[in-house]
Amino acid sequence: MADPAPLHAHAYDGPSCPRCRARLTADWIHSGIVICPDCNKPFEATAFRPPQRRLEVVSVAAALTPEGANACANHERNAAVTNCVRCGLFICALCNMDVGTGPHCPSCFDRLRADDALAPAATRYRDYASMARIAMIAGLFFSFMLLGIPFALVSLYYSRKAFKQLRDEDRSKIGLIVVIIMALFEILAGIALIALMIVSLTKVTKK
Amino acid sequence: MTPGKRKRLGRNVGTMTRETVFETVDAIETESREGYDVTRKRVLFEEILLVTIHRELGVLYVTLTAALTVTFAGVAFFSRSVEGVAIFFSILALTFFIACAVRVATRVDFVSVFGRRSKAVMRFSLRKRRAREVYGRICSRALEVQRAMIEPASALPPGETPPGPPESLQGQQHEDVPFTAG
Repeated sequence: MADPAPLHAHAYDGPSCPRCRARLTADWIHSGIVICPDCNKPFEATAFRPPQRRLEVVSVAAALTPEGANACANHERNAAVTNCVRCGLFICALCNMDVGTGPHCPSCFDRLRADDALAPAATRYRDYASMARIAMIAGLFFSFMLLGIPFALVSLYYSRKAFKQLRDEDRSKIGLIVVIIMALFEILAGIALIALMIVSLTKVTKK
Repeated sequence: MTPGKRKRLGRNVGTMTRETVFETVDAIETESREGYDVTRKRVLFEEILLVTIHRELGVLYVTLTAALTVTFAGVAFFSRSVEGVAIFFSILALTFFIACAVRVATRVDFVSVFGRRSKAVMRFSLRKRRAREVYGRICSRALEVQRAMIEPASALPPGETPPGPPESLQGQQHEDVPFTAG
């Protein structure tokens, strides 16, 4: 079997020139007007020196308790600071994977993330609000072909998912409410159109 | 997904990119769209290394609009005998000419935020003041967050004393509680 095509993703390589994207070395990262050494064009910059986040890892021997402390399940010399809320494993500050959903050990964190069960750690999601909007617009366009009702139903289905998504994110739902109203209108219009066709057909057959 | 309020700062819409940039409590958040899939990236304020602002012409956009102007003006010129067609193509040519002229006159402001692990870019075609505001806001937020990391969180402003224990507990001796493994 042939190897899959290589991914052409551009890995982030640190600060670069915003014009030519040439990597900037530490000498060129400063505040003020910077002239790119590669393209010789200027840009205004503000440089920062962010401090490293320090984790306080306490060794088991140094833990200030009469009987020492529980050791971390992954690092036997480190004192455990908490336990995983999923599996109960004792973990040290290094292993504590907390993204606002309680402390997790690295393996539980990986599993939950792979299952998309950790909402704050999710980096990819489906935009159901856009899908609902597009289905509603398609329904408007194809309503004359009696496709308004199925498209409106699809739109309502995605609207339900989008509503939950927006509620979880605490975002505005006004646009989605407009979509739902339009979809309901499409259903009513579709039913009215079908009723009108039936009435007109029965009149024709009676004649 | 990030719960809580976020403020939209700008967009980065190019030939191959469709991104929206937001400000959250602790980061600059970028949402890039591929169809209906949204990929979210964050540049944490505590990891920002460089924030830049610059103005660019956008050669591809100007070339494209200029080429379309010339094309439609040419069609209008050669079809001048048919009045309706000539007017239609003249209006098209004028539209693209205006787009090209506005871009040449105003250019595009880019605000880029480079973190340790990711970056965010915003484009501002017409709102130059907004670009400057966003640049200043990101710089001030990054400075604020990074300063707070250096200074101990418990540090109080000068002249303030830490609050004491509740009155009901004042004067009581603290008793050592024996450690029990649980």
